[in-house]
Amino acid sequence: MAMDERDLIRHFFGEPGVDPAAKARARLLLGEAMQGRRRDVSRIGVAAAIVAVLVVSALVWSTSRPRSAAARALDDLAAVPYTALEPGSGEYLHQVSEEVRTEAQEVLGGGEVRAQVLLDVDQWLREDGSGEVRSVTRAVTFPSPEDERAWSESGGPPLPVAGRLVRDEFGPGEGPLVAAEDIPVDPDLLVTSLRDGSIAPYGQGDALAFALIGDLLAQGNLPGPTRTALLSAATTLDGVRLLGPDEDQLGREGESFSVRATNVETRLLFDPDTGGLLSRETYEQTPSGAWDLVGWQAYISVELVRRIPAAAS
Amino acid sequence: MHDGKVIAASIVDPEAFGAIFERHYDAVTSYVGQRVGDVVGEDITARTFTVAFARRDRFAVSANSARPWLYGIATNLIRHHTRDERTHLALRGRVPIPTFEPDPNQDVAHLDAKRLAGTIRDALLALPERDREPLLLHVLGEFTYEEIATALGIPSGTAKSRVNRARRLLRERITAATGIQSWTAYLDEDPDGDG
Repeated sequence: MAMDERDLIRHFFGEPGVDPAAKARARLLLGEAMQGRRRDVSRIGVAAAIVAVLVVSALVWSTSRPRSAAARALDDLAAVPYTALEPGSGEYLHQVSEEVRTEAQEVLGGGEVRAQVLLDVDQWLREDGSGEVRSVTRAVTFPSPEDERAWSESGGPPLPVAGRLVRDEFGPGEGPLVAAEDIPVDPDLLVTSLRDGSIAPYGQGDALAFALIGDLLAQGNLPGPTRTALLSAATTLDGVRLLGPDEDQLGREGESFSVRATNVETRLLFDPDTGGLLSRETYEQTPSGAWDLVGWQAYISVELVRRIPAAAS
Repeated sequence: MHDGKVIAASIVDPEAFGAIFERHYDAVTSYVGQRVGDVVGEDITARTFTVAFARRDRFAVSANSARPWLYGIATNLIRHHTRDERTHLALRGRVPIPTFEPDPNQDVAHLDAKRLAGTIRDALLALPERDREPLLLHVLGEFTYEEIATALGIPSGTAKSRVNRARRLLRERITAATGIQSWTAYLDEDPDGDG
């Protein structure tokens, strides 16, 4: 019988085996999950169930470092089946999002006026990496009465105008989306690259590295291993926390995670059913110590389309 | 009753999911253990089934077998243990490949077994993860291209090209390191059996 490289691989890995004790522990763990840890355990069996859970947990987890609730939840998101959307010939990757960003401008007298700008954003990416981004200003508001008063007292300087369309076409490698080959999947290198700006210059601190992870995940076109590596990298960021169930600014429900740095906090909201990113929110700490929402992005859809519609103007 | 029906039944009767565990635990733990070693593998296998149970409402109940779905979950969990996998591969590379069937048309049997193990280790480590995963599902899990596609959430054509590319790269590296030339041409072979 001839041998090929597959036989060599099988020889290399050796004969698989099943440890009956490990199987019994796994079955206990599954049984605990099937019964519902909190809801359905009978009163009589509570003490026994707790002891069993502790024993099984100790056995199963004794060989690995304990992981935080955030890390486990991110692991679960990574386990959700995922299919990358890669545009083929004649196709476009179309991402639709809404975002609010705070724009500040100096006014007479040295003060500052802040305005919050709500944008509808569409971006299309071709197979060769070229594409187009369009953003339409939908509304402009002031984040506080003080900002509106300062704007008025400074003579009402120009603000972004609702309905304004900004359209940018870009060539291969020039667009806002990061190419998969520029994102390392080696865990240590990925975290370093997220932090040092070599993937995209988001700034210093793990809150911004977390924001970058969010935007990369929202692209929808990264290979599965890259997506998993990004979620795994998120578990290693300083101060990553699971905030639990929450809603985004569009009222969509999901599971929220946070990374807070010196004066910036990034929150990512995931849909636990699809593993997809729903939104990213940015908070900044005010001098009084409060944390203000200063910007957000809601990722509405990402899909493959055959054409880019004509721009309205 | 096939897996899809069992899993559908487990939506109402969670205990029914135990049958899925009994049917597939041995295969999943064997595969995972080969990938990352028994110690880490025990944890990953256990979590594969708890994750699968938690997400059973998203399983396609018309599917006969939950095996690709379970391997897909396991593969996702393994990706969080890249370092463990590389360590395990490194350790395996120190263990001589034990037996070969003597074959006059092959000179593999005359090679130094320990050196060959190191060469395979290096070749596997050199493969990109996106190619190594489908290859190992194919070789260790004996998955068809369709099953690989289901497990990894990729088109079956992509699964086929990745397996073939991984095999070609492995063969080239092993050939370069050992001088073996008498490989049988397998690249056109279709494990689905449909040509």
